[in-house]
Amino acid sequence: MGIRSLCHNYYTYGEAPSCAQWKTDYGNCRKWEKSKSEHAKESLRKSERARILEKQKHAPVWEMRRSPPMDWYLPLDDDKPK
Amino acid sequence: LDQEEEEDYGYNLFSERRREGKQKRGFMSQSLYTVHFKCRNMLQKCWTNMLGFLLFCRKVRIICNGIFLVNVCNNIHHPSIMNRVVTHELIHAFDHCRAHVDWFRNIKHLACSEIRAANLSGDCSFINEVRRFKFGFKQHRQACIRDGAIRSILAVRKVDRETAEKAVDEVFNSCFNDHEPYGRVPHNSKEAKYAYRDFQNRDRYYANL
Repeated sequence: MGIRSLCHNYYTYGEAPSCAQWKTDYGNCRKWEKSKSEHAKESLRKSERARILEKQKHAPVWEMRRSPPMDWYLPLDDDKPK
Repeated sequence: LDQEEEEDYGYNLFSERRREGKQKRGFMSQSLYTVHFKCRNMLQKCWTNMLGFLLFCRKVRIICNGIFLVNVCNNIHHPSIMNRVVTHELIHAFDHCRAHVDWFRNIKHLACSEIRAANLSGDCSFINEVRRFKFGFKQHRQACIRDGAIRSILAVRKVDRETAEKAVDEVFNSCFNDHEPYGRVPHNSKEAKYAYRDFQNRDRYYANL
């Protein structure tokens, strides 16, 4: 895990990955598995929510749909302009 | 669409369209030894590996002549390349499925989808770049994605390089970090299977959160 993750991160971001949060989360996960500690569970939840928020900080380029387009499965129509 | 608009929108890349008006292909040309048959075989093998991805956008079903796979059957001769190209095109299909992407009139939407496809399909892995004799390492992946996106835009739209570069630069930060449907960019099939497992467990994940 270590060297491969380092290589991928360096190739993508130009720096070594910071795995401290993942290590804390792993510790919390094991603690919860062993003792069902509420504190560990809350820390894990908080960390995951923060990670999701971090991913959403860039505004999306396009407007999201509520459901797939109605005509997704139709074959291409030669006459209709797209 | 008139002739000029068709070229502008990349419709001339559809080999089936180009053949319109010419003689239909005879039986022998559809036989075992053609590229078409080999292509179909590779595509079928690819589907079994790609099943996880297909389920992300539950109703996506792509046929060889469809808008997203038009170039596949013309040029691919190796299964691993097939995997990569199909993934690339499925990312476009996924984007079409989940957002209002204006493929033809908004070049920023096209740029965004190309950036995501280059990022998530394995086009820009280190090994593939080395095979193209590009030996950069530090942060090279981003340069590869940027170049790949620009090349893809130039291949399907009649715009000049500057316009394509400007569009890619404007949307790069937002689209490079958008890893849907994967949580984290998978670098091999094992990581892709983990991503599929996360997708299968998503209800439990969000309930716990």
